[in-house]
This record gives sequence, C-alpha cells and structure tokens, in this order.
Amino acid sequence: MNPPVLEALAVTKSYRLGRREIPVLRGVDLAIAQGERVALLGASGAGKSTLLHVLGLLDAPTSGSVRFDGRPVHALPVAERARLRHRHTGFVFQFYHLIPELTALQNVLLAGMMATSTLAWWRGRRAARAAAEALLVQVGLQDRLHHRPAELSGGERQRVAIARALLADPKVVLADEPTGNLDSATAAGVVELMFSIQQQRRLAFLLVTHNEELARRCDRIVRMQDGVVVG
Amino acid sequence: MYRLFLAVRYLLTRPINLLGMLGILLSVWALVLVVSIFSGFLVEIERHVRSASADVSVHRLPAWASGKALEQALRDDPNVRDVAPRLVHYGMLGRPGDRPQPPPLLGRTALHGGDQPFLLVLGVDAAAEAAVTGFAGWLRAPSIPPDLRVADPTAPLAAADGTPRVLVGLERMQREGLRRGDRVLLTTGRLQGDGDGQKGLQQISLELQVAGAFKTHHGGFDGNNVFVDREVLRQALFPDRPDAVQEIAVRLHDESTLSATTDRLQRLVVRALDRGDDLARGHVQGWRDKNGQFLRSVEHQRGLLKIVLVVIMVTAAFLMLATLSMMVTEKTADIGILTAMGATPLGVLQVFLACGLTITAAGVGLGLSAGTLTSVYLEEIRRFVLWATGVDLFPLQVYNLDRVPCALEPLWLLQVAAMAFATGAVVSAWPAWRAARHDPLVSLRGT
Amino acid sequence: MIAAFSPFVALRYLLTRRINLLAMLGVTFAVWASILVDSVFTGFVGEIRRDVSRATPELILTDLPLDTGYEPLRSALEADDAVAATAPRLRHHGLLQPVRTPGGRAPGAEGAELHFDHMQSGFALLLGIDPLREAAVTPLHEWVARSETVLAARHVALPASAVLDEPDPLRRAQLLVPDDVEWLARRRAGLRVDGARAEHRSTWPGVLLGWRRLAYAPWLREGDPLDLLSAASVPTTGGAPQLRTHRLRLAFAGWFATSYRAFDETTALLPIEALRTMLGHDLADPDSIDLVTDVAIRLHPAARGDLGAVARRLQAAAQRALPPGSPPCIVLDWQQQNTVFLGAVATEQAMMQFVLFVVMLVAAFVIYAVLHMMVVQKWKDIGILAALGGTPRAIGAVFLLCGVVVATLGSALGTAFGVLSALHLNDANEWLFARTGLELFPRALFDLQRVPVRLEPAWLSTVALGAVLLALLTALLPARKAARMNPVQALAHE
Repeated sequence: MNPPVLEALAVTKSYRLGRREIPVLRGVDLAIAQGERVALLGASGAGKSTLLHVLGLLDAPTSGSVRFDGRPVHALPVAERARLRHRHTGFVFQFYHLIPELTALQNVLLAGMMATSTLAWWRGRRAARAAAEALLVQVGLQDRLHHRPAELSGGERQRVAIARALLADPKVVLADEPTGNLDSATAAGVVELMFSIQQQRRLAFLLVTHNEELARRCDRIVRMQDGVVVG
Repeated sequence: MYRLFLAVRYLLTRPINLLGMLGILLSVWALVLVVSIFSGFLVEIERHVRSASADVSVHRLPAWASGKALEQALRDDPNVRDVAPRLVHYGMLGRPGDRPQPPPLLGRTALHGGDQPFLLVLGVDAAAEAAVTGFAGWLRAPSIPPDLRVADPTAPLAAADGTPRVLVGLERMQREGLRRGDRVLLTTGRLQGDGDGQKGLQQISLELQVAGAFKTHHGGFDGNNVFVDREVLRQALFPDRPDAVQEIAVRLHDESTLSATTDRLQRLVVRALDRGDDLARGHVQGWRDKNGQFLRSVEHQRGLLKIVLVVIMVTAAFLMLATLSMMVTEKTADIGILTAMGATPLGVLQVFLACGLTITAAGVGLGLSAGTLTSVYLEEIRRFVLWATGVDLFPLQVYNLDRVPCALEPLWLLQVAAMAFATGAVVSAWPAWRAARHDPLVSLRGT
Repeated sequence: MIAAFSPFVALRYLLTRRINLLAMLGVTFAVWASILVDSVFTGFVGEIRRDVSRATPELILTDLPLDTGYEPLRSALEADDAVAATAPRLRHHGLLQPVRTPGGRAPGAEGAELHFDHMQSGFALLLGIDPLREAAVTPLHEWVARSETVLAARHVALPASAVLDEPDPLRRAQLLVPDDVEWLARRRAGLRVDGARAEHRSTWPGVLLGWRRLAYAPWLREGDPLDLLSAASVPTTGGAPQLRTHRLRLAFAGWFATSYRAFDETTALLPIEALRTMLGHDLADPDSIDLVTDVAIRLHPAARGDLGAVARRLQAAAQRALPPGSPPCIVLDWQQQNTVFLGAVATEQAMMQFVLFVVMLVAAFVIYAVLHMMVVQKWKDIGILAALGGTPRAIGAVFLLCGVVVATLGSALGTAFGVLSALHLNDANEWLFARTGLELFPRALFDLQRVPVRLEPAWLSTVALGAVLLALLTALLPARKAARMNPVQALAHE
C-alpha cells in the first residue's frame, strides 16, 4: 500500500447560521493514496461536498487537520493554500464552472496562469499552449479548441474542465458529481475518459457521487451519513 | 400595477442604484451650493448698495434750479412718497493741525473702496432724509459702539453750542480714532468763475463737531461720505442762493415700477427745468442704474461657473446610464419572464423608466435639500472648518461681508431640478428602451 | 508579482463588456472637461495676473514718512547691484472736473458746480510720475499704446496719445500736448487765447486717464482742459502745516490701458513736478524737496531669483537713507502690492477647482459602479479562479486592473481631447458663433477678444494622474470584495 497523498484527520466543519451552529462534518477520517480511486457516496446533505472542499483546501476545517504528503496544510495562510491547490489539486465540478468569456483552450490555459508571473508566463506561453492543446486533444476536443463554453455541449464542457484540472499536473483530482448534469450516454464517455487518465497518471482520485454503479467501479467506497464516515 | 411593484423591488434590492442616486445628489448639491453662494453674493452686494441709496435720485441740476419748485413738482407724481433735497460737495476732513496721509496704494485699498482721504460731503435735512432713505437706521445700526453713537438720533445734525455737526462713517471714525464731540475741520473749496471763464478756487474751511457714526451696509458709501446739515453747507457754498439744491433723493410708494417711474420723473424734471431752449436738464436715475457699474463689476463672474455645473450634470448622467444599463443586463431573465407572462414592451419600458425616474427624483430631492441645508448653514460650516482646520473657506473681509452670503432663488432651484430630471429621464430612456426591445426567447434560454 | 491570469482575465472582461466603454467615456469626459474648463480659467487668471503685473512696478518702496525727498533714496537704492532703475512716485487724491464756460461747448450738465456721475468717477487717485524715469521701471509707453487696441475692441477708434514721443525732454516731463492741440482746445472750451495759433506754446501739464473713464467722458478730446481740485497740507513758514485747497488746470493728454481694472478705473497719471508744485514744492523754489510717497524699482533680470532677500536688503538701505527715528518703510513686490485682489481671484479659482473635483469624484463613481456590478456578476468566476489556485490578491488584481485600464485609457483620451480642444478652443468658439450664434464660452465674460487659454502642465498631470488614482481607489473596494469572497459560496452561487 502506498502512503496516503491526502489525508483528513478528525475533520469537523460547522457553519454559523445566525446564532446557530450547524455541524456538517463531525469528525471525518479519510486517506487517499497515490493512484487510488475512491468514491464518496452519500445522500444530499451528508457533507460530501463540504469534505471535498476541505480536502481541496477551498475551505478550512473547524477542527482536525488535513495533510498533504504527510504535511499538515489546513492552517497555512490563504495564499499558500491557493498555491498548493493550484500545484497539487485539480477540480472537476458538476456544473463544469468554465469561464464563459474564454474559449475552451483559454479555459485550460487559465489553470497554468495561476502561480506564474505575467512575465514568466509570457516567456513560456508557447510551451503552455502546446501542453493545453495536447490535453484538449487527449480529451477528444481537437476540433473545439476555439469554442466558447456556450457553444459546447455538456459533455464537451466537462471534458474541457477535466483538461483544465490536469494542466498543472496535479497529484490529486477531486471530482464533485462530474456526471450529475449529463445524460447517461455522455456521462459514460466522460467517466471512461476520467478513469483512463487517472490510471495513466496514477492520480489520487476522489469521486463524489450518489451513483452506486459508478461508485462500484472505484477501488474503494466511502459512505457518508450526517457528517460522518459510516463505511 | 406590476410595473410600479417591480420598479420598487428592483430599486430596493440593488444598493448600487444608490450610487446613481448619489451621483445626481452630488451634482445637484454642488449646483445649488455654488450658485447660491454666488447669487447670495450678488444679492448681498445689491442689498448693501440698496441700503445706502434712495430709490431714485435727481441730479445734474443747473445752478439756478429752485429746490422748492422742483420738490413740489416731484411730489405731484402719484408714485412719489417723499423727497429730500441734498447738496453734494467734496472735501477733506481732519482734526485741526493734522496732516492727512496720502491715499493708500492702489492694491492695498479695500476691494470696494471707501478708505480714501478725500470724500463727499452730503448736505441733508435730517428729517427729510429720514423719510426718504434709511438715514435714521444708519445712526442706530447695532454694530456702532455706544460711545460712537449719535446722542440724539432724532436731531443728529442740530448744531450744539454754535458748532455745526458732522456724521462720519463708522469705519472711518474707527480708523482715524475720531470720537463723539471731536472738533474737525472740513476743508473744501468753491469755484468762482471770472468773466473770462477762468475759475479760481476759493478755499472754505468749516469747523465741525463729530455728532457720531453712521453705518449702512455699503462700505464704499460709508467711507466716501459724511453728512452735514444742508443749511450749513449752503451758507458756506452758496450764500446768495437760499434755495440751492444739487440732488433730490426720492422715495417711491411702489418700487416695482422703478424704471417706469424713473422715466416719468425724468420727463417731469426736464419740463420743470425747461427755459425754452430745448436743453434737457437734470438727470433722474433709479438706484440700480446709479450703481450700475459697481453692481455689474461684481456680477460678471457667474457665467463660467454655470458651464462647470453642466459638466457635473453630464458626468452624473454617465453614472446613471451605467447603473441602469447594468440593471437591464442583469434583469434580462426577468424581462423574458415578464414578456412570457404577457407584459408588453411598453410595460417593460415603463418598469425601467420608473426605476430611472425614481432614482433621479430621489437624487434631485435629496440634492436640493442637502444643497439648501448646506447653503443656509454655510456660515456655521465655515466657522467650524475655520475652528477645526484653521482654513478660511471664504475670506469675508475682502468682500466687506459679515457672513457667507447665500440666496436660494426658487426659480433657479426649479431650473436645477428640471435640468437634473430631464438628464435623468434621458439616460433612463435608453436602457429602458433596450429592455423593451429585448427578445424574450434570448432571455429565457439564458447562457 | 502579478499572476499571469490577472491581466489575462481582466482583458477578457474588458473586451466582452460594453459597459466598460461607458465608464471609460465617463472618465474621458470628466478629464476633458476639467482640463478645458480649468485651462480657460487659468488663462483668465493668468491674463489678470499679467494685467496686474503690467500695471505694477516690480518692487515698490512705500510707507515713507511725509515730506520725503527722492534723491537720498535713489542713491541708496541704486547703489545696490540688483537695482536696474528707480522712479519717483507721488500719490495724491483729487477731483477731476471738466472745465465749463458759459460760451463754450458744455460737456455734461451746464452750470452745476460739480459733476458726479458715479461715486468714483470724479475722484481720481493721482499718480505723479516722472515720465523721463518711469519708462525704465514700468512699461509706460505700452500703457499708452495699448489704449488704442483696447478701445478699438470697444469700437472706439482713437489713436494712442503721442505725448511720450515728444522729443523735447522738458516738454515730455510735463506731458505737454502739442502746441496747436492746446490752442485748439482752448478755443473749443471758449477760453481766452493770446496770440496766433502758430505762436501758442502749451502750458497745461498733461494728464493721462485710465480708459475706463471713457464711459463717463466720451466727449473728452486731446488737449481738453480739466480742473483738478484737491486739498493738501502745505508747509508754512514756521507754525503748523495748514490744509489748503488747490486747483490745477491740466490738459487731457490721452488714455492709457494697463487692463488692470482697478488701476484703469481710478488712476490718473500726471507729471510729478506739476503735483509737487501744487503741494508747495516748486522746482524753482530752493527750499523745495523732490517729494515722493513711493519709489518704484526695477531689478536686473539676474537679481530676480531671490526677490525676498533683495526686498529686505533694499528696505534696509532705504531705511538708513531716511531721517533717523522714521517709522519703518516697506518694500513690496508686485504680488504683495495687490494681495487683496489676487487673493480674491485665487479664491474664485479654488472654488472652481473644487467643483471640478466633484466632477472627478462622480466619474470615479462610474468606475466603482461598473466594477461592483462586475464582481457581483462574476461571483462564480471568482470561485472558479480560487478553485484553480488563484490567490485572493491575484483575484482582486483582476478587478483592480480592469479599473486601472478603464481609468488610464479614459484619462489618456480625456487629456488628449482636453489639450486639443484647449488649443483649438477659440477656433471652435468662433466657428460655433458664426454658424449658430451660440458661444460656448461667452467672450463678454472675459472682457477679452479671445478666450484666454493656458494649459498648466501641473494641473494637466494632476488631473490625469488624479483621475487614475481616484479610480484606483474606488476600484479597490470592489477588488477587495472579490478578494475576500468565500470560494465555496461563490461556486454554489447561481
């Protein structure tokens, strides 16, 4: 067994709503190793997405810790967390979350601009562009490079999102119901693509879903209920 | 109904609209404030001049003119309430033995004059003068300290112990350290022509006693004039002409017909002084004309300011346009739904127009109130700023004023409001029209 | 370091949203208007200051004791290396009256003892000058020469007076009008004329009047006699000085125009010797002194650097030349001589600039509104950028950059338009007037032929940079809002 890349240790998370504390995560332990494909199953409101956000450093846990390569990272300054997120984590969302003003290629390229200075990026722009194009070709969008999200189908948009998540060559990909918004035929294509890339790159892959069938294709299934891991 | 309802909803839920309103508010505020200062300044100066003037004055009278006859002729006019004959002469006033200083260097004089050593001597009948001008009030002005006040304001020029009296402007008295009862010498002269047209100047010295100070609001008048009894001056200047008069000050019943009355009196005076030689004698002037040059010199600065105020309006219009068209962009989905529910393009137009007009109305209303308030309390604000920062926003002494002037002319306020409202309507119309033309299908499909 | 995505995304936002154009136009307009209006106002103020300085000697020594003579002061002042020239000045006051005779043409009303059309018209600030020395200190010739153009602008065709061009220095010193001109004037006024026209010699000292008196005396012609009535204390042999009235007959020698309103309205220039004679110091009298109330001073150009120090040095020198125990005299530069007036003008300009600042502020509001809306609308994008690893600063920078680009472009365009339109303002004004009869800047307002325009580099850069800075400050608010958002909530935003 490989050592875990990403770990959640006794993570709790609660939100304030007015005067009330609403606990969402009540002590979650989870570890994902390199090359491991983990499915996170649970009903709506079980805390799956919150856990994903905490693991992706988008949100800080109320207590507990998040470790990346064994290093506690949850308490790092916000800019540091952003940098870490950029370098090691790729996100795929249910609603694609592409920037409507940008073409498919630009949306992918954007991921490469996050931690590079303007000057450095300008010098390496050809290489970055080639890399982004290669990724888009890999996800099967060689004909759609210069289309804007509005001109792409749902499946195509998700493929752009996948390419974008991979550009920085992350160790971890966190996918939040990536097929939730797609019809089954398209979804199947997207899933195949994701899994093949995951295997090829030996990514630690956390898939939030409520689709049992999809979950069964993963190495491990983690079930959540009311903010705790139940199995 | 839905139009108003929606307009109000949109406005209340979008705080950015406040900004559009703020733009209008700010520009209306600046407009009202700056213009009210300028108008106030003009009004104040005019009031100052007015306070020192008779309604109408008749002057340039020939030497042989009979005061009594002319006065009677003037009194026959229905609009003439009272008349006061005056002698107008010049001279220098000083304590006996004092040497007068040369006039101040041009740039160091008061902005509107009044500090020259040479002055005009007005020979007046105190009672007649009080009926025509604010003469009685000038002697009782509250700013005159008690020790400089005239002892008996009902007969200020009555000679005491044989010495005729003189009234001196308050500031001149203070500047020269004159006190009540001081003996002063009025030095003047009289031209006496010989048969050859050469005129000799016969010196006249009048010993006078200072009766006290007078104060109008017109610093220039106070500084340039002293009052003595008309009879005293007449005896010195025209001993052989008991009926001599050089100016007649006239008070009217109804000042609103000033120019018509002036014209009528002019004809009347010319007729009364006609000797059958077709020469027009005597000149009748309303107070505004008489001080025309002075008033005009103050007024000419207002023009450029109005240009700047238009500039603010246009900039505020940009702001309104930006916020409103962003609102339309953002509400495209709503527009689609509204149209789907059966709203006509006109109805949609009205919703957004109502938004724009409400913003404008609120901005104009608040701007007018804020402008009015700051204008009215400007003096207090100035004092506060002076106290807090030591910066004097408005150097009053330069203009001979005792507080920051402010005049709110309703007509002007109305004009500002109308202008702002028109601007608001124009800039609301464009986004509203865009909203009305919007294709509902595009909205509903969304992106 | 600016992360590469900030300018990239900012540029996309700018290009895809037309509302930014509106914000830019708002800034352009505000900058344009500020530059144009202020350049006109600065031009106007510059014109006023130029007029004031034209009418005022560079330095003036004043507050001298009564009965001060010129000579000791002159040698004391001219001993200083900084002084190029000095000229005596004698201030007095009086009443100028046209001479009326029974048989002659009667200007104004006949017979009245005095002629007051205006409170100040009859009064004159008499300025006795030495025409031979004055020109070295103030542009006296220019004052006279300008009257021709200034009057021509008011449709009065009058050639400038030639009294200063008189070749005979003795006659020039008295500002005498040509002999036949005075002869004719005497005839016109119905005064006795001894001898033939060719034999007549002018005797009346000349007086030059500020052109603004023309309104009260449009009938005045060169050589016309004027009576100066005045009073002054005259030293008597022993005993106290006594106040005496005087009459001095002068010949109207012409108009002068410095364009400094107060000067042209009040001052009458006459030969200093004539005034001295009237005040009891006739040149022929061995006991007389060369009386002055002020000494006008012009400096060598090289000495103008430190005016204050020169003024202090000259004051000390003059004070030493005065009798011991004299009250302190004072040396004023041209601005100090006119603080009241120049202060009033400066107040007006400050008010104007305040209003222009409000304009800028409103323009900055436009940027704020647009950016604020952009942040609200791009809420989800901000979440995406955060998820991709954008730091809060870099995300804020996206919106800040939008604001800066809009403001910089707007400001640059506005400055360019402002400068262009200021340069061509008069052409545009005239064109508009010729076509429509409308005047953008009414010339009557300025009392000038052309609208004065002066581009002040300091104001230009203040406006241009100020607009950008103000926009930057207002853009900070939406940018901060964007930087502070919670990415999780932003992503959930729909």
